[in-house]
Amino acid sequence: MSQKVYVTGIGIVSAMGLGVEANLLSAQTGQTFARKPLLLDTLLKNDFPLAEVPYSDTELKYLLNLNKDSYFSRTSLMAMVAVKEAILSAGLTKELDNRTALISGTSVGGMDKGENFFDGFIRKNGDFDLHHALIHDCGESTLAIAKHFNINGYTSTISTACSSAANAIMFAARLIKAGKIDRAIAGGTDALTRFTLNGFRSLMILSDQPSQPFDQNRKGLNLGEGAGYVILESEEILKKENRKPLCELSGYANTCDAYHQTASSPEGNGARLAINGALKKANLSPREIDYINTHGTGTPNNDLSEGLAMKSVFGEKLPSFSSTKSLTGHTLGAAGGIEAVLSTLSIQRGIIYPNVNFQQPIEELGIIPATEWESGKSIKHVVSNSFGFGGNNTSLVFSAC
Amino acid sequence: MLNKTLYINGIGSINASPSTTTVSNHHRCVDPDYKKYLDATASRRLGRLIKMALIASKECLKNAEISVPDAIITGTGLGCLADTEKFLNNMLENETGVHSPTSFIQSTHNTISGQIAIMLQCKGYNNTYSHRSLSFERALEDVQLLLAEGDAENVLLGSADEMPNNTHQITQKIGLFRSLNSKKNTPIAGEGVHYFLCSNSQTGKTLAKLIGTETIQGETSNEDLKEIILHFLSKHQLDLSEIDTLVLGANEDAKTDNHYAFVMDQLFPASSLLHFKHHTGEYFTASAFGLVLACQFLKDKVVPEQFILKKQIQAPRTVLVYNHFKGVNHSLFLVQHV
Repeated sequence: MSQKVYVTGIGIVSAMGLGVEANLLSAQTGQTFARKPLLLDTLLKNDFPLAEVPYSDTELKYLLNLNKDSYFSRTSLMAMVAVKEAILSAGLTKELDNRTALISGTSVGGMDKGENFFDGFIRKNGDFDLHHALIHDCGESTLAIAKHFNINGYTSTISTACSSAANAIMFAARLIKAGKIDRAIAGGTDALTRFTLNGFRSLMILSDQPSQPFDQNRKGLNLGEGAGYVILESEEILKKENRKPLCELSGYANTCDAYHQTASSPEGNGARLAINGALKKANLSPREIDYINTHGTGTPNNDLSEGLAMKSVFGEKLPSFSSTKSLTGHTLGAAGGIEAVLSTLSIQRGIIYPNVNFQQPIEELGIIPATEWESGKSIKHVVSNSFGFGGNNTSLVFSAC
Repeated sequence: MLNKTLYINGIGSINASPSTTTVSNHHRCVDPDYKKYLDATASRRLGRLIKMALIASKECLKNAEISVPDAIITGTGLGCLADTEKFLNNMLENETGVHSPTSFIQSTHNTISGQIAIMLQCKGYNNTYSHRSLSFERALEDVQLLLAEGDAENVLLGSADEMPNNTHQITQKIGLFRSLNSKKNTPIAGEGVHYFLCSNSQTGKTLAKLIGTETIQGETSNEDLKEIILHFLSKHQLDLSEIDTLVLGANEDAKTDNHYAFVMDQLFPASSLLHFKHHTGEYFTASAFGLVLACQFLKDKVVPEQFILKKQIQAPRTVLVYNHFKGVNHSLFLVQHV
């Protein structure tokens, strides 16, 4: 049970672009990528900025050599683009054997097609395409990815709202440690939908401006979309195949806040337990952490609660921290995957990401996130936080190797 | 995939079984008297599937004599559909209008495990699997792994799926399910919520022990199915003749029931046979009820007459639960007497 788990490949799709290099170039610009949506057909397009992936379904299908009339949810298409990059970057050129698993997280699955189908079926009485109902559920998105890449090994789908991808990565690591599989493609994906846009609007936690995580005057979050996947492999298979890791997934913990269906406990209990648990698993002390990629949604509730949790774990002097959601928007079920990719890059290239739009520290906390892009630093250990509805809190630790 | 032995020390199940079914055009669970179990606010505000899950998990923990488990893991194929439908309807009706967030909050799949955690004040590991007709199996495998890792002693495992009317109409249109009076060779839709307290330790409350699980993703031939079953049993030093009881997910679907017929006629001709979908209906997490039935039969030696297809023995010792969903995603649970 003690074998190490390594990250050997990464793939990312976000409003910042397709692929690692596009995302890093965009992140350096220090601007938010949430803006007026061009693709999502919503009456609210002038009311809330959205961090939309700037490629249509047809364009994504083109990149994947898929017929433009084929039926895929946007959730699946974005995932396929990210998984393709992850497989390539890990140098997995051979056919994937059945010791390779696919563990994927998503909160709404194919709702992007499901909501239009439902509209036609229930309300417009006949104007619908039945194929869209068949690709509605969460599990379908995973099966579509598996089919596209001819993955015959273990597949599973986790749906824990905004921590879905982080939990997928954690479960994949546990399967590897238990010796059940050699490698896994793990992460998450979620497309923007009117359903989630209206849902978050009804909760009154959307900002009508670019989000300002950890700022005293933050007004709420910007929704985003995308996909992020990592290739995790066992120490043993890497040695056997003589391949090199990018970093180690050294720690993880999943806890529950058990406080409220959507809000975090004011003192950030669940968050504190998750961070502490992940550090313990990684056998690291808080002062060994060089960077925290926070959950940092930009809502009044999350940032205060997460800030208090960080202070209780790390003390008054926090490591460098920032919310990359200020760049990508909150990509829900994909967030933990996108941020796992960014955390891996942080270690590989010594990057601290800018927390854009920050002006004034939160009074109760007095903590200041990193606001400038930095690279070439020595970063050995990164904590990545993903906290979801239902109190589902998960922290991951990535370490240089 | 995982062969960790775990003890099932309590069960709470809400199902559309013979004594409780209300027949609409599918098999629907009778709503429990929510006020009896939940406070007034909860029974008024929470969605139906969440309330059923809270009650099933309460019953389960009461039966197991455990107040707070170390972890909560739920499998759900489609989540809280009634709330999803409700929020979709409100939103589509008037996208720029003001909507209550309640049905949105309750539409997320993990709201079930989350609400149970709040009710129990359980801050431990909490997870939700939604993987079509292997949703319960994937949740169960996480429980096996968690118990094997030694970080948890008692884990609350559950399944939850409901079938509200609009969704039922859609599923009929896709050809997934038929209505009760139609003659098509398609299963009738159902629903159910089943919770199990799984533990590393046997207690005075133990109903049975689960010694292994296996799943086959996608379709399979009867020939391959036989190989997989033989291999699965041999891993547990068992041969075909030692399976005294089969619990089958057969559902009168002429196209895919041949797998069940093959297993019962060719592999286990001498075993007792239990079945349930003629009462519970078909749904993505139906196999969980197969496990309920296996545990009850092992503990009490009896189950309601309606579930018995063939009774060969008086005291069951080793039960194999075999299920698939329309020929896709097959699962096997091996359950033994303690």
